Amino acid sequence: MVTGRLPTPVQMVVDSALHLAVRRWPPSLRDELSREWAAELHMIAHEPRVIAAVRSWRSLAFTVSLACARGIEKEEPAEGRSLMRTMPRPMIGLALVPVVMGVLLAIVLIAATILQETYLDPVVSFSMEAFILQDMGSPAAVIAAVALGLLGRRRARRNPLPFPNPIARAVATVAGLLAGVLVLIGLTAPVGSDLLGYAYPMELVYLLTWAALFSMSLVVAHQVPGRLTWLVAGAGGLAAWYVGQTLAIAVASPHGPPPWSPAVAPLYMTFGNSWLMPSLLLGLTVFALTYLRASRVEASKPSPDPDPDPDPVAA
Amino acid sequence: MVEDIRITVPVAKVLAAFLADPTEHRYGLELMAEAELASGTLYPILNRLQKAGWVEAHWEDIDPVKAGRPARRYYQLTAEGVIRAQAAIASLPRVAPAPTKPARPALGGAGMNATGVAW
Repeated sequence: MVTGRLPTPVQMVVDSALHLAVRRWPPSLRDELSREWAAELHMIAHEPRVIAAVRSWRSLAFTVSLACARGIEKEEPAEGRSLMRTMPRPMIGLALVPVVMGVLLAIVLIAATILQETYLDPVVSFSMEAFILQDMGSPAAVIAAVALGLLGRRRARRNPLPFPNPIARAVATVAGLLAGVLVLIGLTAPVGSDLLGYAYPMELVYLLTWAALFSMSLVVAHQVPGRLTWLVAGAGGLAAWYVGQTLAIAVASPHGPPPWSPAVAPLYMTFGNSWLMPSLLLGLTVFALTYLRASRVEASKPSPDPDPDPDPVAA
Repeated sequence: MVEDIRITVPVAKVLAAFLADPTEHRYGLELMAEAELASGTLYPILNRLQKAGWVEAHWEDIDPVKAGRPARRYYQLTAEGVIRAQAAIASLPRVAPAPTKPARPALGGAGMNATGVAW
């Protein structure tokens, strides 16, 4: 309240409390409330037949009560902030998928190692060891991929990404899974550099190539009409998986055959437990496809009727 | 669109103050006196009632220079708000018998017991 005189201590407290009270309300309401309360304070300050001490007390009580008000409802957050609020849960869910699958595959690896050490001759050849691991790994990868496919449908129904745009949904899905794999690599770092089957540069080349190509294939697939969408997306996912793996091997073996050489393919078998990362990314590819397909189905469903029990219409 | 709100004792007091004369426009200090609520309780309730469509507000149409005071903000129940408020008050359990003597007149002459509801 501007009076032109030096403010009294009471007036300073009233002004401060009023300022604080206004600041507690949503920005869009502050101007009106400030005007309204200033008008009410003016009425209190000029109340007839009331002594100054009582007027001061009433002004203080009015503003301090406002400053301590409870139950002030905040405004609906802006779209971006709303998105930031709803996004973490599905994104965390997506990031957890690779970690869970990595743990499952690691269990298979440990079981295979125990099996090998228990039942095989210690002088078993390296190729035999690789064969056994491969033998365990391939069915494990397929089972994990199918399980992740089912999980993808379930996750999309229960915890969909808050993006109406399918391209944004696709990119966010791959980004969430990529974040999860990076976490997995970070978690396995203290254990050993090649728990997932590759040295780090190789893992990163494989991973980033897969993520980039898979995202691109999903964007392209979105432009294709009808059921071809999922055919293109699936083919793109497998291509991303294959190209990433080939590039990773080329990076790891600079003196080996070029990535496009058919001779590269058998090299996949020569990396001991190298099936882990391909298995992981294969499973994640299947997961992403089923997740996105179920997300599209969920997004196309009509929103629930806001008034399920409308008033009966008079005949 | 009018929405439901949770009817607490302070909300019911504010609604009762409005229902004492639903056509009357009331300002904050008046409602505080009639509902016997502090400003920090009243204004959040008024805000909720406004958002729910039960109450509407408008500024007093005066020239502040001529009047020598700032314009005040007035509140009034909407048509739908009157119906909702009456239904809400009627559905409240009566925890004490209705007063046998007239309610204590507050500012504007409307007491919180004007509707016969005891809190």
